Amino acid sequence: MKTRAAKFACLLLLAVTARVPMWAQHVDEAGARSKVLALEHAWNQAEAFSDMKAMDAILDNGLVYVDFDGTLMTKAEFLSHVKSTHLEQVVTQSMNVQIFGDTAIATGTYLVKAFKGGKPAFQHGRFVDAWVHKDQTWVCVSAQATPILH
Amino acid sequence: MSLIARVALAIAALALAASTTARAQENVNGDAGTKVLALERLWGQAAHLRDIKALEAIFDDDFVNLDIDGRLMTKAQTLADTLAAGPVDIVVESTGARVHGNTVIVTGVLHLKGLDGGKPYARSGRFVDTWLYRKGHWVVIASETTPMEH
Repeated sequence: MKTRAAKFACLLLLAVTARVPMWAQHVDEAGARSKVLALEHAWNQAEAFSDMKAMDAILDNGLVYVDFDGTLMTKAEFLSHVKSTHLEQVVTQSMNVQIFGDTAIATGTYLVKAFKGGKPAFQHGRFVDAWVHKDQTWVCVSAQATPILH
Repeated sequence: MSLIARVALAIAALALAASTTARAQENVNGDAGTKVLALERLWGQAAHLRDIKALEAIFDDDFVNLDIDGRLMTKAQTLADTLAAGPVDIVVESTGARVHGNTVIVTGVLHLKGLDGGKPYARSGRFVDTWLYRKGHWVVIASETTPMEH
């Protein structure tokens, strides 16, 4: 009787411990996804308010940024571009984040309302951003915007 | 074996394990850019020849592709699109790679020439590809192309 109970307890323990890594991975992925999503929203806010300090923390120093018209920018060039552009509104939709360990890919669509030469201009496109977990935080290492033509 | 000898042996074993891991990581980082750029060339050839088997090995199963028209596609959709498209000449230039641990960001310009509905077309775009070292191989997890206006 005792032996059977001990065997059962061992099997139960094995089953539980085997599932722990899978469960922990699931929780880690969900947490990472939430963090990256929150950072994407924080980026939108920072860009709309030209908050350079917040953007400096979100974007990796080695960032590569490809703008709507195909212009390639470094982090410094992108921050300078944001400073000189007056964005009235940035709306992102259909956002999705895929986690690959310490790397994440965020996709979505966006609508930007800006002023160019005093006139309102709208941009509708799709974006793909790559994030990397570095020094205990997620930073964006590449971002690209593409107009939706279809 | 004395206690001191056992402790010394354990420390030596730990140090050896740590240095081996660090060296393995260094090799991945040191060679990463070169390997990934070689795979980029292979990808261009495979796309030109519509070699689906080669493309299947290059793309991660969770691959996301934002094409030059702003269409977001999965791996299966990208492979189907490659098969359905007419022959395309692809010229890739100005390629650079940035390494972030086990992730590499490749940027470049590509020129496409082909036939669409019997009519010739030529387009240029700026691309950003995200590569990940996964299960002993480099795979591309995201690719985006933005049409160049200038």
